[in-house]
Amino acid sequence: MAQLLSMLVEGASLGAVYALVALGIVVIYKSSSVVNFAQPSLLMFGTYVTASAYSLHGLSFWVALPLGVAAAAVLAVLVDRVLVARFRRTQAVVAASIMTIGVDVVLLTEVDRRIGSQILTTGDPWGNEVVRFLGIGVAEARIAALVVSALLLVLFQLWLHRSDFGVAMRATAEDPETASLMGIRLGRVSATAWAVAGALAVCAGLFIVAYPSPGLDTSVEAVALRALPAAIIGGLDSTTGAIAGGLLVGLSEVLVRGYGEHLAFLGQGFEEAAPYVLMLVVLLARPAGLFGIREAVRV
Amino acid sequence: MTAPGARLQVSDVTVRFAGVTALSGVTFTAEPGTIHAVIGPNGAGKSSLFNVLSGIYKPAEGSVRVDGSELIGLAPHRVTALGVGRAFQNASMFAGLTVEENLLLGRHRLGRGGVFAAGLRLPYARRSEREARAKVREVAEFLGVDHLLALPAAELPYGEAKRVDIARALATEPRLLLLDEPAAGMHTHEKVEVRDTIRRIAAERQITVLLVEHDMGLVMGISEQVTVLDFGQVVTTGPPGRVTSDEAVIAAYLGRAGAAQKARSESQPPS
Amino acid sequence: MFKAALTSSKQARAGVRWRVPVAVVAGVVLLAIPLYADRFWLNLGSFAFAAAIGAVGLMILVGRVGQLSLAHSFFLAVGAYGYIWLSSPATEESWGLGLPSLAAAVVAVALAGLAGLAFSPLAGRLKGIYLGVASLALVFIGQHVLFTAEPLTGGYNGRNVPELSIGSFQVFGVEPELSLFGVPLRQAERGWYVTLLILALTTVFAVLVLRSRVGRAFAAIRDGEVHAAALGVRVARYRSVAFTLSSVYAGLAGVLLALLFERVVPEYWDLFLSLEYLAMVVIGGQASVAGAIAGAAFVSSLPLLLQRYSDAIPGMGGAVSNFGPAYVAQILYGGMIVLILFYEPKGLAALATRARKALTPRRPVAADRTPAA
Repeated sequence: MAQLLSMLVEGASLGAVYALVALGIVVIYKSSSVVNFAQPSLLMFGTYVTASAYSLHGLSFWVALPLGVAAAAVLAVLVDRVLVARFRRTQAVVAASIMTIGVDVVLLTEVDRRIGSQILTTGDPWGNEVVRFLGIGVAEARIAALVVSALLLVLFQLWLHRSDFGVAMRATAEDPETASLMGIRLGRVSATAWAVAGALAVCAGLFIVAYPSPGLDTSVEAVALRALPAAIIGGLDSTTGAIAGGLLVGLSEVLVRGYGEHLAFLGQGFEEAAPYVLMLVVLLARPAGLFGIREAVRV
Repeated sequence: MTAPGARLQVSDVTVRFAGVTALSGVTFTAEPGTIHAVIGPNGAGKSSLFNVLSGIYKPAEGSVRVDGSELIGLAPHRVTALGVGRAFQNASMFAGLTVEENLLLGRHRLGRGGVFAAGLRLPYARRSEREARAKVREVAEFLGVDHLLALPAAELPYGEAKRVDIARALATEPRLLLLDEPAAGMHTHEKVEVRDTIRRIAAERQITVLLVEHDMGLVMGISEQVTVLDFGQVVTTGPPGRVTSDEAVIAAYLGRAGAAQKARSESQPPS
Repeated sequence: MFKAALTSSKQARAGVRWRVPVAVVAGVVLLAIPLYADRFWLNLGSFAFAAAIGAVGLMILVGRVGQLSLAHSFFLAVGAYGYIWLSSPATEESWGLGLPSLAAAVVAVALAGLAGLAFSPLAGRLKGIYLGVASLALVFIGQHVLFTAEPLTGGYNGRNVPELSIGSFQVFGVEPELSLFGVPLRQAERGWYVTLLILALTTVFAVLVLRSRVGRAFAAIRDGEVHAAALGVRVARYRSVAFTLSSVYAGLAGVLLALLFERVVPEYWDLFLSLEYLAMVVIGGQASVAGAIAGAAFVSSLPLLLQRYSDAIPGMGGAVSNFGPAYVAQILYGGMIVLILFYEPKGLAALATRARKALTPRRPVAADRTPAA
């Protein structure tokens, strides 16, 4: 029981981190109908900026963090304005999404080259001391990830519901043409979404490199990529779904790893495939994801 | 190609989207081989009705019968197989294909041959393809678009695209033809052509035509029956003469939407 | 508007005139190359032809139906490992059926097709990019199986690929000795001719399918699925047909690649391989058969060429640099995906069209050809 409880806490912590990345994907999708496959590379890029500012240039974490967040946000806006915006008029969303795959390849290749075989730490303040409560022990970094991510998610949801941007984004998702006629500037909505997505990705990246991996190395991108199944599981057009999807992916990963000995027939390391299996199961039952809106059209 | 027209019976059709009722208890019958118009102001539910009739929307309640066969619940391709052909509001061509290929898509359900038959050039697939091309040429000649066959569909002027669209719907060999605003955005002389075309379809091929159209002159000139929709409900159904003098129609439709109608016809885009 | 339309249909007809002599010349050159080129170039060609088969399959799905798939590497792996499993004799550590190798190759391709068909509940219902993300699952599940199902795949160390032979004729080997115009036809030469032949056959098949009612249904789904459905096209069915067809092509390419590699290891068949195939299709112009083949030639040769000439390229050679051939190749085709979609979505296919236009003498379009409206 204690084992299960500690796995649930761990899974929720990892899941909340995935949710941050997935939320970025959803916000971009809602504001421009583009699936941003470059989200993992934005995470890697911003996290690399923070980690190298700390590890290689000796800056403090509290200076390195905003640097990384800002760098990813600026790069994301550049990708949107320079590359993706070109497709807005023609609504060629498949082409625009494929283009983000190209961006992802270029960016990841370059960040990977810079990282090389190093493992860079970010100098984050949360340590690895084990905190005991309710009869279980959880590493401090994981508690921090859970608390900070949950806080960010709540603040973000509030902002989406209250702010002009939130209204504009939902209107754009509903019907871009009408939104545009009503004075919503689609370019600005999209750029804001990209900036937010980049920033969120880096916040998530900082927790991923604190735990489960020992620092930033090239394996982090495979972890970051699991935000895509998270976004799909929840439904690409639902911010609530992104959070639910993130949690489900985090939980599935931790539970499969935790009960590894009972799942030996599935082979070692199945936790890395588990989120994708979960995605297939959800899609079979609900093609639009758990919280996604089903189109009325049947073909 | 002379399949007799079908009787269309629409009874108590109700469509709801997320709490909004788009159609409510819509009931009317289109007799075989006649031209039956559905009119109403924007948002009255005409497009929803057409989407129900081609199997794209599934209504919450109601029944639609084509010569007695229930259409509700069938997938769109089965609806086509029942003999329901449709031309679209904005004459959407498949932009990556030629005009001939667009028309051949109308013949799709009547053709034969899958991947293997096509890739291995099996005789029956080639025969089916030859027949389809001959039929397409015939339909194209019937509508006077045969000189356009080799053109890329994306390059068609709007007026021509509307005619190709009707030809494509006819190529499915329908017994019931749904025409969604066939004269929208057309000049006066083009509208005359559209009117003659629709008359020929009904007269020469005995196809039942269900017509959604804003141009009252066209509607009243060719329709045997007119159904008036407003707020998703049938106001009345009857011959044009009676409908235009119906108090409820004048109040609900012509009175309110007349101004909008006028504005619309003045701001039509050049084709 | 009419003028433009007539001009382009004229050019299309002019294109047909050009196509035959160009194809004949290209065919003669391709057949003659093994008589002159050395092993390096022949191997380069064989890999390119095998990859091109896979690229044509992905092109049908992405360019003609508008469905994105990132699972191509999975189906390539099904073909490759399927062939190994079916053709190898069983041993204590590894499974095998010990089928005759030709039968094994055919069944392995069919297996890839079956795997594609099994995915049709999703391949038929999911649209465009959604399918792209869903198909990611196959890559990661596939990778997991390749690394852990040791009796089947050999795990981390991989497995040897049994030779393909028909009777005593080694299709990719040296027995019996053959020669053409005094040039012995050994592994490299046979590899070239066999992969070229299979590429030619599968290309013709693909072109015929794309020109048929099936190909038109594909294009209609891409250009407007609702309208296609209203005309009687079974959208979900054709989507899954296209997915299955593309997985058959991938399976065939996988079998050939395995035969050329002689030993396969799991990390080759990862997500990155799928992205390489996507790059081939995008570079080729997404919807063009010839473009996909050219894109495959480019993407599959690039790392080999960079490796061979890395010493000659400043900054790339030497042990200290980490700008290795793999780095440069990835940056190049990642970048090309971006640049081509940005500047010329029709890719290499558009270059060919332009070249043809430049070579075709323009004739003025007579005004009286304009049909009466």
